[in-house]
Amino acid sequence: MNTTSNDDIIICRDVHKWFGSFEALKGIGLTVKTGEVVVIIGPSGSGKSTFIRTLNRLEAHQQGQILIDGIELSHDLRNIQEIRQEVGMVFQSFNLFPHLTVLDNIMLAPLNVRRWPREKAEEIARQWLTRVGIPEQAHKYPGQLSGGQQQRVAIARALAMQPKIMLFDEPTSALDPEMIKEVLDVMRDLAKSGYTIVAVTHEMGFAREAADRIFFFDQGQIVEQGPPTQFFNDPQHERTRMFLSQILRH
Amino acid sequence: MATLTQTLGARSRSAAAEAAGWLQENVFSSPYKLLFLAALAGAALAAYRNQLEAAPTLANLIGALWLMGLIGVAVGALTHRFNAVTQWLKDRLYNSPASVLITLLIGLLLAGLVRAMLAWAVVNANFSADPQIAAASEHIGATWGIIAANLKLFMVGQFDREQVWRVWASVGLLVLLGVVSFPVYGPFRDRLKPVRRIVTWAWLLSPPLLWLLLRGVGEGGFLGVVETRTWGGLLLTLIISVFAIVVSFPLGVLLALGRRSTFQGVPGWLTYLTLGGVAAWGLVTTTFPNWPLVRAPLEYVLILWPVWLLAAGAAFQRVFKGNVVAAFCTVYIEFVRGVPLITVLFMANLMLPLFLPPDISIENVFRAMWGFMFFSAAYLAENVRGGLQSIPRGQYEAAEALGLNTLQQLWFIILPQALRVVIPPIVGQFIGLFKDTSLVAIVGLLDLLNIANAVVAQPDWLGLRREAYVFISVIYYVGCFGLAAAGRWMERRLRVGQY
Repeated sequence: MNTTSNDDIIICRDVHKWFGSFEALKGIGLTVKTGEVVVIIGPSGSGKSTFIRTLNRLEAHQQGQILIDGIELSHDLRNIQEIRQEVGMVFQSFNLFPHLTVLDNIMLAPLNVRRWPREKAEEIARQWLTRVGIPEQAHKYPGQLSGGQQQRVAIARALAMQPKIMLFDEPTSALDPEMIKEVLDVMRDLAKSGYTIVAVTHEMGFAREAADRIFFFDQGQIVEQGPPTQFFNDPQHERTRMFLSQILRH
Repeated sequence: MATLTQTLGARSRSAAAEAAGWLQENVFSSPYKLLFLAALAGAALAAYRNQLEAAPTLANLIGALWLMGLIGVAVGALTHRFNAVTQWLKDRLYNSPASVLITLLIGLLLAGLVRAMLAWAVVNANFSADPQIAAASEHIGATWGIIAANLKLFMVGQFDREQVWRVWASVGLLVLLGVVSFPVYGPFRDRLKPVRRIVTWAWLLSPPLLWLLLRGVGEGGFLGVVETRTWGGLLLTLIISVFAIVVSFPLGVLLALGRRSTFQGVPGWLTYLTLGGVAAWGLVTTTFPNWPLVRAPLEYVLILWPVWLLAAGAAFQRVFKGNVVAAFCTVYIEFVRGVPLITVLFMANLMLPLFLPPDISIENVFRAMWGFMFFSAAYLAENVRGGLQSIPRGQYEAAEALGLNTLQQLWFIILPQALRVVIPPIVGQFIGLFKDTSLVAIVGLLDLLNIANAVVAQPDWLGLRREAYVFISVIYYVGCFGLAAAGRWMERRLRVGQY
């Protein structure tokens, strides 16, 4: 699994993470190729959110190695800064900046981190707003938008930095059912256009349809992985079968 | 015809029954209510008779107005028809027997108060600025001459009268900056961007510039020194409060950020090694040799300083995990908040010179300015910290995930939201500071309040406290109201609470 090739954009080797004495990640090893769509599923408390947050060091891992696009994540602030520019992240609770307009939310990082001229930043911001289907909301504030619209702005905000990797941390969990589809549509669109995506989600439809590989986490470990057809139709582990039966039954 | 009379009769009968029912419910339903209403009626009657004695026309006017309103509302109630006026009266002033009486009572009291004030301040007042004329006139109201004759004193204290133009120049400069700022920061902020930069620099440079203009440099000449101890009145009040407000703001924000900082601390072994070394040295050189000489309990406390040093080091490691910045900010804030402002001013006045070389003396005004500033910063820091704590963790995470560095996170995301939240308490604090400036009397400075005290001690105008205090109250009120209005304006501009 850890054989390195040139198009492995994410490489994790034996990643451990403790919160106090609780071990949240117990030696995660996985690689993601450029353009691959990886979906992580698992029961709550299984460490899947913690894991995705270590990929841009919102959580620091304490043992093991994480390489993003050839740069190792360590305490070195410059590396962290550099990696965060290449890794976009979408949160469960959107985390838009409420005091800035939609357009300013999207343009903030391109202007101040990428240091693009304003014209370029605005052009790209508007392109992404159009792509996620809400170009007319550019001058509104986040509080004036619906949850689904806010999450689409958050996706546009992450993409405007032109990252090489997109992380989605349960992007639809805080949404009303009728808004989930509009967000998933955007994610499907991105998956089709060749973005490298790591997504933690409970949307099995999305996983089945868009994922190249699915990882099943339980108690801080990868229990099972595989392409969606195999994963859903022929799970190898008892724990996976139990989880799937529970999640597909309701 | 007969039917009509019958209807009318029936109507008036039902109206009377309705009124009786209403009285039963609202007046006679309980003995306590009846007692309360009787007391109110007695008070209103007493107020009316009192007012009748002082000013019969006014008393009767108020009474007549009240009666008209009462009749209007009563007719409306009986006919079930209210127009705009009677509806308003019923809702606000006549909605229960008690409120009917309270309306009369308060109307009479207010009218009496206003009448008495006007009589004192205008009708029976003397406006001559000449003390002889004022003293000769037989008036029972205010003697406003004290204000006119001492206006300069109220405004600038003992400031050299030849140099007062410098005060005017400073005021002019500030007004000019303010007037220019309005369009530049307001409606035309985008179009006037280059001008905005200049204006911002002008604001930043204005404090030293104003200081130079007011205090001056060198002996005599165009901008010769005006001794700051001659400054006083409103000028001094404004200089101290504006300086303290403007400078304590950034300092307070830094203190708040420092207290919340999570810098990698000094490791424990380094702390204990260093302090342990110093403590051992102290024990050997001071504690042990001097131990036999110690008598008083306080001396024992002092001579054991190496022990206290180690204890402080342990506390530092335990509470702050070696974070020097957080420790410094916390200790500073808690220390300053723990002492009264008067103590700070005393310290600035009496202790500071002890620590400075004898040939360096800092002027009183300067010390007071810095004393107020440092004091205000500690309180401000806690207000700002409250704002910082109100920002959810997700905001930091989103900013981090976008690659913003710590400074950019603070500047673009955290501070704009946090400071917006704390505008109301900060404005309150600044209003308090503005009024607290009168405490500079402690260090022998004559601010607005203390100038007033000095003015009423002049033989010409001896004892005219009311006039002087009313005058400075108005000035203080205008200042505080201005601060409050500025706060409200900023809240509106920054759209507090309407995301």
